[in-house]
Amino acid sequence: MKNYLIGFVPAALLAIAVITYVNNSSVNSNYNNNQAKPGITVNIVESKPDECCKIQESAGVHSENSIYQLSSTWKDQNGNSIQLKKFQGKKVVLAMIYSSCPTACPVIVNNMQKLEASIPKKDLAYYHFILVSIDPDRDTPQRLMQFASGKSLNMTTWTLLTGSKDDVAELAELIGFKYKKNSQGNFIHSNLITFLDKYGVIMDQSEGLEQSNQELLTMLNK
Amino acid sequence: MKFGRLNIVLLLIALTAGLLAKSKSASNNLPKMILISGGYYLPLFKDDGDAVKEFIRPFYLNTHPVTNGEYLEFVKENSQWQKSKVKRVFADQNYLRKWKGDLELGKDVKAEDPVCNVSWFAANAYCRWAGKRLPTVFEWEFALSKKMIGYSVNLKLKRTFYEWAFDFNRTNFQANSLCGGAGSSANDPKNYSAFLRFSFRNTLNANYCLDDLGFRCASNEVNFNAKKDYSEN
Repeated sequence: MKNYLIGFVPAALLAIAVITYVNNSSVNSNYNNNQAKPGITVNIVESKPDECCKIQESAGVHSENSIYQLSSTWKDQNGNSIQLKKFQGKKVVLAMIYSSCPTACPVIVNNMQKLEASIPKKDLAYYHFILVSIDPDRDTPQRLMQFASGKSLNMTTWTLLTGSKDDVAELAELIGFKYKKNSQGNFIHSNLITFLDKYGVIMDQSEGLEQSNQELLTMLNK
Repeated sequence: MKFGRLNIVLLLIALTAGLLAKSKSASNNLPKMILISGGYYLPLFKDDGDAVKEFIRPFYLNTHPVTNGEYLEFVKENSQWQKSKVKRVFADQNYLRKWKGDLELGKDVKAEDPVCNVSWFAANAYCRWAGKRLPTVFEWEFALSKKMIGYSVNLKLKRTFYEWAFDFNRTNFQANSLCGGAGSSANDPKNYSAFLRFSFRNTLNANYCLDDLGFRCASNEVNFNAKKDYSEN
């Protein structure tokens, strides 16, 4: 009986010790995994470009200045996820706006529509018009769709995009667009139309609201 | 009796291993974050339509700028941010200028010193990778005004060290130029160092990589690390 106890007590203690150790070391290994990263979650979603895009990328890859290097994913007016490099191969006219903008943005959109109207119909397939919202809180894809219908935009040549605040800020920095939300919930912002070549490199930019259609057309056809 | 002795030896080994594991986990070198309790911040400059006082929500802020060593971990995992691979559109030719190679700091660059020669795009990408974000200008200035962050690092470097903020060039939108009379519109013209910071930020482009410009990250939430670090402070 005594012998039995001597064997049993240390065995029980050992079992407890082993359990403690296993628990400890599993916590520890979590730490080690995290230690490499100074934060918690790492959510880098790598998109896998399909074959078509790989070929296009290699064509445009010589350009260190292409804004299509952005890997951010946006939602269009139909709620589909897209990356800006989807528009590679076309001449792009891009503006950053927000749908509830009372004054300047409607003028910009109107100017872009006039520009579109002066492109011969047969050439229209080589151009694309993009509006990127700076107000992701309010500009859902549905809202952008309503905005597009309200302006009677031709949805084969126009795309409206909304994304995260980070992605909006990144794009804005790339094209030199400034914006800031004020206490009334409106934005003060640059009035900027950006012209991209087929590789996503900025060809020209129009600042302000005064440019004539002829001036914009000259920028587009650089 | 023999069986009992063996058990005790095993028990001691197990206990020692357990203690070792525990002490190792306590000495991890994750960056510390502190809670910046919210409050009102009086911006140095205002645009039309701006509130007189900006309300700053409570947030967490790293106590120190991101170091070379920490940044190295980031470029190890994200090769597009390595020195030789970064695209010029995201970082100018001075990106990580003092580093010896893509994954090598070199003898003149200390792992524990704040990383510099990093662009806004790079700083932003780092903080997102770390599950955090860049602080806004107002958050950063508010934390400094509350003496929650300091200049210990700067004393070591013996020169002014600036830090990126998420909206670095968007706080004083209408005052595109801060020269001459623009300075007189500041709410506190005597706050010379704040004036310098605001005017410096305004001269930056997001792909600039400068010798005295680094960054630190912020977070809205009490994430796992922040919670732990905070309770240690």
